[in-house]
Amino acid sequence: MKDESNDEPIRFLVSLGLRFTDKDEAIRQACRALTEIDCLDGEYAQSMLSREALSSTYLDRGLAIPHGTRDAMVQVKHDGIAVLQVPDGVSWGPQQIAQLIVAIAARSDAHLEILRHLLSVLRDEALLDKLKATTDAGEIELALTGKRGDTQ
Amino acid sequence: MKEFYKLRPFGFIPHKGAEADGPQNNFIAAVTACPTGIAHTFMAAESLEQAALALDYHIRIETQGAVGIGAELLPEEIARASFIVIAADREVDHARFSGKRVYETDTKTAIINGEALIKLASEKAAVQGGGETVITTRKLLKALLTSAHVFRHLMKGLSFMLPFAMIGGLCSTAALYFAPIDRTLSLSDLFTAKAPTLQMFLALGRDGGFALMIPMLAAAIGHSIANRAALAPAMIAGLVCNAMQTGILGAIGAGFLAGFAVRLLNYCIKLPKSLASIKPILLIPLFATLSSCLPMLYIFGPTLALFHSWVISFMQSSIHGFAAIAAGLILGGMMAIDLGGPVNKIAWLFAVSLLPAGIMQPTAAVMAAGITPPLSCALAVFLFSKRFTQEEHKNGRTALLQGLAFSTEGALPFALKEPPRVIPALISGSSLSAALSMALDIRFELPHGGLFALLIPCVTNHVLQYLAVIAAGTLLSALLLGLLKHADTS
Repeated sequence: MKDESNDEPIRFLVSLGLRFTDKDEAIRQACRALTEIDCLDGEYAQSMLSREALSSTYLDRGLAIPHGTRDAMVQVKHDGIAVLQVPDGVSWGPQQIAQLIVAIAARSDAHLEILRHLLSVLRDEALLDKLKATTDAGEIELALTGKRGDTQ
Repeated sequence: MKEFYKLRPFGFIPHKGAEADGPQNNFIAAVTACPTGIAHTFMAAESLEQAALALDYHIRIETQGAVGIGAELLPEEIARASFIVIAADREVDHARFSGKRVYETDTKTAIINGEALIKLASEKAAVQGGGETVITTRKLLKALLTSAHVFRHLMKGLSFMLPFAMIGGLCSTAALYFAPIDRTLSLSDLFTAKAPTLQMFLALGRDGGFALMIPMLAAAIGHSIANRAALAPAMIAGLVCNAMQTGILGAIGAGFLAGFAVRLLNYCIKLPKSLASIKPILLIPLFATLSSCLPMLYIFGPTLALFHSWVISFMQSSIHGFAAIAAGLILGGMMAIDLGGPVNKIAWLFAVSLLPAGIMQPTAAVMAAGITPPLSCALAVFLFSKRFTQEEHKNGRTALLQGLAFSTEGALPFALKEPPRVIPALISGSSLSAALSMALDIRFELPHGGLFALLIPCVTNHVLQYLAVIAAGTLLSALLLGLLKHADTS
């Protein structure tokens, strides 16, 4: 299967210092961010929420990775990642407070490299704590993509 | 190290010692899966990989994701693994791990601490099906159904059976050509030289080919379902079918019975380690043979034999006139409706099952109907060349050869493009060919080979009529194709 998005780098957007009352609101904001970088075509939040209903995408140490379901893949125009930093945290489930939300829109394997970085961030508690509090979006991008873009 | 990770797909760490068989202490196999297969599957895989590297294990991971590369674990990799780790948030097929030590958990556990998981698994992994696992009917049904790729098993059976049917057919044509075979000859007559050697060989080839066809079909189906352990039970049950004259349906039943019996027994019989070796060499062969032969002898066999003899006498008595044409229309349509799929194979199998009984008209009809679709696609490309793309021109040339060799699949590239237009056109031509072939009482001795088989003398009773029948069907389909294609582009 030839996939054009394989050839172009994954799109990346970081939003810092956000506040949400609940998970729903956070996911809707994540989809707005993904739409902003032209990754989505149509309603995707519903798909992310139904994925959460299957099982929470909260990982550990304040990190959550919401993403859509398999059948919603058709609505993904480009592979993209939207990171939402929520310093005060938002409840992601029982005893789950998400402070760093890495929302994934994927239709190819372009995002797998980011998952690798994400795993090493998860392993590095000091780095993760720094990213949760940082005011420099480039720092988050560096940690997750391995290079510093000019997103500010 | 970073670069190395970058270039390599998930789940593939090159490792040494891949040649050796049997479990290796430092080799682990793993499966990761999550409901969507987008993120958790891969993070769990990556975490397990890093953990394995740190703990000095080699690991091979099957990532059941929606994207990315995730090759299925090979049977030999499963065999070689000292234990299996399953990190999944949804149901994963367990049947292939029977007898292995398996540890199961969710992806989150694997992502958060892969090293702890591998350490825990190496201690706690329990032999699948043993220990605390309770057999519930649901689990049992599932184990059976997940292995029930019926069509795949059937196709393997057919591919093993075909050479036997070919030898049978070839020898009976050759016998027609050289000398009539005395049906009373048997193998022992060959040594006592009661008959001319050539004639003996032909008799053996024909009777042997057709007689072994049934046990072979059963054995291959059994093997496809449950590997080597099912060979003997299935083959013996096939022999029962032969004796009871159940035809090919019986052989298929025998194969599936034996295959599933072995799987079931494998799942149900639990023995202490010291006695484990008698399971594969004594218990499974014995009980699988009993549980496939007894039902065949007393339940399915008599019914199928009755049905088979009814079909044969029906085909023999009403092979002429209207019934023949109707049978041709149906068989022809079946050959073209899925172009090499299950329905096509059922029609072909029906015809082949009648060959040993000397009924050769359906084989001719089915062969004509299977040759027609690819040929007509090729002809349509030639006649209406402007309406076909460059690629289709190339496909047309391939289809021509495939058609001549009786591989109906040659028409697939055309059919897949616009099935509602192409399939009816192909069915019309195939049905016409098959019906004409039946009406003209054309016989064909070989179950395969296509028009190349015509080079063998006496393979059919009416060579020219047979060619005309195929030409008629091909022309009809090609014209219809042109018509329908045109309607589409305008």
